[in-house]
Amino acid sequence: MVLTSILPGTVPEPPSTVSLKLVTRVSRLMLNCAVRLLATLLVAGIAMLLVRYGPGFETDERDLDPTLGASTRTAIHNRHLDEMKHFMAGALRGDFGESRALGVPVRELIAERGLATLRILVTGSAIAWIVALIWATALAVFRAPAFAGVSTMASACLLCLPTAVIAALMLNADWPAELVLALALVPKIFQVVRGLIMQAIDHSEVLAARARGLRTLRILGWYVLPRIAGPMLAWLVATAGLAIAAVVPIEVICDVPGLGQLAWKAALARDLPLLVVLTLLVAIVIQLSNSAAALVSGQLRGERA
Amino acid sequence: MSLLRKLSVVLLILVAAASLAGIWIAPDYATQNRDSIQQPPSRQFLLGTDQLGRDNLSRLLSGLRLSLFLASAGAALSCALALILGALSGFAGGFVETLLLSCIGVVDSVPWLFLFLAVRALLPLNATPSASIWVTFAMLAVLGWTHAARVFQAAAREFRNSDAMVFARACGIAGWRLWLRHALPTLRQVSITQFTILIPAFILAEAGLGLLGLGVSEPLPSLGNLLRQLENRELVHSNPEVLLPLAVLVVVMLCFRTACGDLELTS
Repeated sequence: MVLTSILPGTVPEPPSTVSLKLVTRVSRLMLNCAVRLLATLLVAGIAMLLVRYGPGFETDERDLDPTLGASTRTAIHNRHLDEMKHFMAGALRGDFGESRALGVPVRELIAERGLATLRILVTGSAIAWIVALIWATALAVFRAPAFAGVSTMASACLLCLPTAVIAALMLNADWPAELVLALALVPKIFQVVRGLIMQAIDHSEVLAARARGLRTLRILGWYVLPRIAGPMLAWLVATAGLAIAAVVPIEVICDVPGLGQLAWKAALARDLPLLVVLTLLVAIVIQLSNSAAALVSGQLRGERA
Repeated sequence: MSLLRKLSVVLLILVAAASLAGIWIAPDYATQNRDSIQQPPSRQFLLGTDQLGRDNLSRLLSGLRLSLFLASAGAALSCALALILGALSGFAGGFVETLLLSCIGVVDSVPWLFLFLAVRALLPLNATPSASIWVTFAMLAVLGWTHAARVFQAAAREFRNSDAMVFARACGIAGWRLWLRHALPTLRQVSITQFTILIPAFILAEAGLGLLGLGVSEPLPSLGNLLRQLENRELVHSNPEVLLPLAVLVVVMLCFRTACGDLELTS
């Protein structure tokens, strides 16, 4: 009884501390949500302004009417907020307007091409994670300096190439877009996972297990994996942002009819309304993934504390 | 400094010097020699010619110069932005720190590639190639400061809570003198590191955008523009020298990473 009461972590916390922690967590979560919402609105605002001031876009025909007075013209020009409200209300109803270059409702375009992008994102990220995990684990198991050197050089060389270049090179080897995305993501994930494993391996608990003569695979499964599972989960969620950024050049170079290629074509065709919707859509997805990653990290920090 | 880092720095200086020397030894990157299209390396054209008969060596040196120096300028601008906001938030603390960190968080979580596409789409069709250079690197500078700002903020906060700060205050130093003469110099090393980290990031970003046709416009060469030849499968097989810009890019990037201490060949 005496022993358990003096062991760290076994003393029950007073209710005031628990409620304070809860309040801190909730306020952090609310701040996080506010930042994400603000970021999405910022994207929407910038994108709307770009459309408004783009050369030749959204020129109001009433501007050309010579009978209108100066105050009316000012009123026409100062209606950005109304336009934004109108657009957001339409977007909430699922009406994103029509593409200027293609003459098709944006909703249809997104529905048509979204699946192709989703398939590349999911498959590519999954392959990247599996390869990176195997690679980092093999490095931790074998611990051969030559293997470590080759791994460092290989991942560094891949990190020195833009995703578009990787896609162009792999296009010559007839690689599918999913594998190209995996190849672009592997070095980034590998470096993080490798760092986490190396950090965990140097922990005193793991060193004690090694001193007891446990096999490497058992040490990895029983001692290392539980330590790195949390940060890896947070990183897994955060990979979505990286993958979305990488998918644009890959779809363009590999000629995959997805949302990334659609955004690129919209940029080249100066189809700003379509670009705005795509930017907003991607912003929301990235905000969601960042929020989830922050939530997981916060949860882990809370558990550790 | 390890031997590898010294070698990287020397190699980077050599590459920069070669790109500068290109102004005198191979200045003509735009002239089209229509009777020498896609020529292999020869005495007249040391690295051959491209599909329009332009000298590959001139274009490589000019592209390297443009990418290296404008990325450095962009990195300097980005670093200055990050230093101002990061230092302000770190030194001020309290509400200002929370507010600025939230602002950095907002800017950080915006899908900039898509906004970049939108801004590039805004450029008029008759925009000059030099306008495309300024837009590309200015956009990179304006968009790429957030990570550096967080590092500056952390360093400034560390100084704010340090014994040196307490000692300076105890000596009666306060106000602007405290910040400008005692606090700001502590960020010098961080500034150099962040500047060195941002240069390769901007070179890489320009290369990626250039390959998509959204970076520096033709006929101006840049590393991104030169890499566009990689999309032509037949050309890559018949003229392997088109891979040279890629090799140069990888070497430059590896040198930067090694110089920053990012790449250590240890287990």
